[in-house]
Amino acid sequence: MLYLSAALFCEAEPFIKELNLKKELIYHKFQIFSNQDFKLIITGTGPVAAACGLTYLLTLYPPESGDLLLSIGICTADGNQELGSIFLCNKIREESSGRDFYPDLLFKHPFQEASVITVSHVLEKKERFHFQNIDLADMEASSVYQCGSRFFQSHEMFFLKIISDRQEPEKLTPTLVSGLISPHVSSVLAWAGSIHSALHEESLDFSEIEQQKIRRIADSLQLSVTMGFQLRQYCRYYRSLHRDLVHRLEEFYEGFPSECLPFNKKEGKIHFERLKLLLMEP
Amino acid sequence: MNGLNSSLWNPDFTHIYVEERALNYKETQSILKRFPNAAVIHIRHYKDIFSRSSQNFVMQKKSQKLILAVKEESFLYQRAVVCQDFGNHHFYYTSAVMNCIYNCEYCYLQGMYPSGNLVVFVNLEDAFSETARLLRRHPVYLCVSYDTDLLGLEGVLGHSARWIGFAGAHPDLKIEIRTKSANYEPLRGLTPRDNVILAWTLSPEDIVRRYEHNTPSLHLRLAAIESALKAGWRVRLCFDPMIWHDNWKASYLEMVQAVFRRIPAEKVEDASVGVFRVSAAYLKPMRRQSPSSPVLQYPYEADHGVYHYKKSLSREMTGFLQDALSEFLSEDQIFLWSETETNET
Repeated sequence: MLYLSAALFCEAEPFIKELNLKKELIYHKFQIFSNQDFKLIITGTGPVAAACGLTYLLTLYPPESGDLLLSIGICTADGNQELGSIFLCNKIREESSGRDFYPDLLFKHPFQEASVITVSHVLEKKERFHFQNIDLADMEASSVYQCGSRFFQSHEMFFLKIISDRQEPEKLTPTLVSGLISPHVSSVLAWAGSIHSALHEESLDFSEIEQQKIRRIADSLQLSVTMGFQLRQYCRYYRSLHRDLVHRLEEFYEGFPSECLPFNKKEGKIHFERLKLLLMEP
Repeated sequence: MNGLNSSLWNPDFTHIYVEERALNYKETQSILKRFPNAAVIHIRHYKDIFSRSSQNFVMQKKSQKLILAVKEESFLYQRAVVCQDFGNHHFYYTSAVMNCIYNCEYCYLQGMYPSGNLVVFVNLEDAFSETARLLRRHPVYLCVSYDTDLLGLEGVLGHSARWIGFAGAHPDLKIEIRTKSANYEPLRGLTPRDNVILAWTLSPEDIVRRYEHNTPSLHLRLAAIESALKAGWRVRLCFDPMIWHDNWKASYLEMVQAVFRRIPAEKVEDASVGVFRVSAAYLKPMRRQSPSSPVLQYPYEADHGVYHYKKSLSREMTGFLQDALSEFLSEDQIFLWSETETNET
């Protein structure tokens, strides 16, 4: 699953259209749009709204290992960067606490990189962009990072910022914002999609069917809790070498006449030792 | 995960994170010059990036970043329980670099550090001062390439050469530089010292290929050892960790034969032998991050907070290699690690 977080509907709209996302009408606290592969939330503006919204989404739909989070939104800048330029954030500073956060940058990307500071209010023209060694300012990134870190690994989160103004927020309109974001939608999705499809991580967890077989054997052999842990580790070792754990466990179990089951503890121990040898076979 | 498209990943060191206070150090400037295309990101403290929560060591090793920092705490640590002391009192190790450019699947650093990124402390002079202070109290045996591989990084850092120079001026100091590198070139012009031991970790070729990712082959390591011995360096051979696999006897025997076909046994200082063992606290995250790794998923036995093979198997493996080595080395040249060392501590 790819999760998208945006503060405003006009920031999200180009993605909603491109992906043909449908609004989930059962949720009223926040607007959530989705299809089979994407979940998009509109959090509202500001750090608190961003944290609340993202937590809401990720609690409803907990991500799995290898899922990605994209934070997309507009920002302001002081420099000479062109309006509509897109940046991948390599450093996020939280103005209120002074803390810095660093998203991992493990993957090649087609964007320029920049540092961003998250402020809690809209910067007006009269407030000069006074942040040293910082390129951009937004109102959500640091909160999305902190909230996202509870659900994602650091290499699974990306922060993309598009310059919308130079501290002249009064000139912004929803149409203008959508128009600045639209040209980047296909490149962002293609890039994130290629990472996501490659990042399917193997899990230490057993599949449902593997768990069933392990449980059945543990019960039949009357294994203690410690022996149960041992059995699971032997199974993990076997699985790291072979792909047919279920088959191997079935072979072992099906050798027993049903009237013998469950074994008493002494017999169970003997059979457990035999199973361990089976699972250690090359 | 090994099959992931390599074009997806940034190469190593595309980004260098530099502590603000490290910026003016000569070593910082010299390292940055070696990576002119890297993005330099200023940070306040290395732990802000190195010690973040939710990092994945294994993933980060696919695109390792460099962090340059100034170490505030002590550089010297006393020997860890799971390490051999080679009969030396006052055994210390130092970590002026945290993490390694190699990517051995069984490496304890995966469990010890929260990050796969490489930290270099640019105030190595402070490590020298601290060592000099300790030397005023007693002789010191110091492993300088401990939680890293200094020789593998020599082209970038030059730490091995600096430690060798420091050892030259301090006869009461004995240093060990442990490595899997085949990079002998930077040492070629240096004068071998009596109080410097170059220690190569050697594994059978099939273990190198299977588990010691990005490291030079056994063949290349032996070529480097040969050069070092010819130049007059004291060389230790470390057959540690031994990794059990279905063909382990043939595999280790073949390795010993290959080693001494190439290396004159009479010139070798000594050898260490030890089976794989790892702190229980480290193995848990290591297993979680590498579910398909047989070397990590092996059902080890836990004993006094350390996971290792069953005692009988440990003894069999150690004894087997000891026997094979004793064809070439004397008994007092072979140092064995055994679980009792852990239990006694």
